[in-house]
Amino acid sequence: MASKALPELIKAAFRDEKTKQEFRTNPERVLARYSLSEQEKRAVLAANTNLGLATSSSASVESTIEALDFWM
Amino acid sequence: MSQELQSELVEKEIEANLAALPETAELSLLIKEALARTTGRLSGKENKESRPWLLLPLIVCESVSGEYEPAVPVAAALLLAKAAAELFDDIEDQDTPRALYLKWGLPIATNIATTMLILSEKAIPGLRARGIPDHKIVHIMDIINSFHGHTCTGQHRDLSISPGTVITEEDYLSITGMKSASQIECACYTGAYLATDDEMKINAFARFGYNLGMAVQIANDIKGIVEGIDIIKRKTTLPVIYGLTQVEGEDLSRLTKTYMANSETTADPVEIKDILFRTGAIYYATVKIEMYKQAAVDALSTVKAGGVNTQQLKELLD
Repeated sequence: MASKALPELIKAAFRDEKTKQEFRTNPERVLARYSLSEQEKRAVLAANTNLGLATSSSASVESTIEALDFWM
Repeated sequence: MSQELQSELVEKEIEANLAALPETAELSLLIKEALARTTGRLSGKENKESRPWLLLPLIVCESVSGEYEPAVPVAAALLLAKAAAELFDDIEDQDTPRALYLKWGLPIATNIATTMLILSEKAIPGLRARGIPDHKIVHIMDIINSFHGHTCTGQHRDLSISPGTVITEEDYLSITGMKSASQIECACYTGAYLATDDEMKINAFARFGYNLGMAVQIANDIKGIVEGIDIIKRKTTLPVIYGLTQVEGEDLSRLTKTYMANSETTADPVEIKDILFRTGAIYYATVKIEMYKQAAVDALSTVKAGGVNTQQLKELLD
């Protein structure tokens, strides 16, 4: 089963301006409010470090994709 | 050893297999054209970089045992099978304007793909010349065909989805695992199996390959959205599934109209891409990529303690 907590966190971070700002300044505090697995927490923090909250296409998004798509 | 030299070794192995065909000239040219599409290497060799997964059997074998040569026939077999699968895939999907079957005609393309499958099978006994014992060769044949069976089953499930049907994330990930990840899993499993009898190491490399394959496919999904190609084709990939199940209001209405069965709404790549980024659907997919990448790294960590050199694989992952 797919985790329900991960979509809930992302919905809140993208829909609610206050949560979005809090996530940008202190992602761990926002993560603590959701029942994420350790693997999910690590992944969110890694994605946040690499891309931030990717709300539009950017050079960093495209380079991340290209690095993996090279394997296809 | 550099990937370029490893690629050349695999190409020589394929050349030797092609030479066994009667009246090879024209047939070989077409097979080489199909192989060039698959490797990304241009036939004139202007671009010498190959896609690294095609060399994974060599890279994994070298990581475990320090030798890559035993894996050359397997890499040749997997490359031939991959090129055949891509030809068949183009014929089945009929959505690629540059597909080789449009250039050659359906009968020729079908025969070329079939020939490459036969050559793939014929490449595996080449392991004997590399000193691999018969019982291992039989197992390699069996395991490669098992993985190919997974790929065909995943493709069947994908082709059987009615247009406009929204599948669950679980179904999507299951199909992706069978169709895409199993190929990279197979390359890693076989590379490790040729290097060791240690099942723990072999299974760890298989897990590495599976998780890498999942990450690669989801990255390809995001690329399809960023470039707009998958939006025009109305492909229901992971970001779209997130959008259709988590997004609300007017954005959901636009997504539903675009992806519903028999929709008369023209897909607008700019608008749909904006919705999928703005609502976190693309971000969700990037988090999923990170989860699979971490699982791949974790798999490598379990073999590092056993004296396996994982440096090159970690570098490729980054």
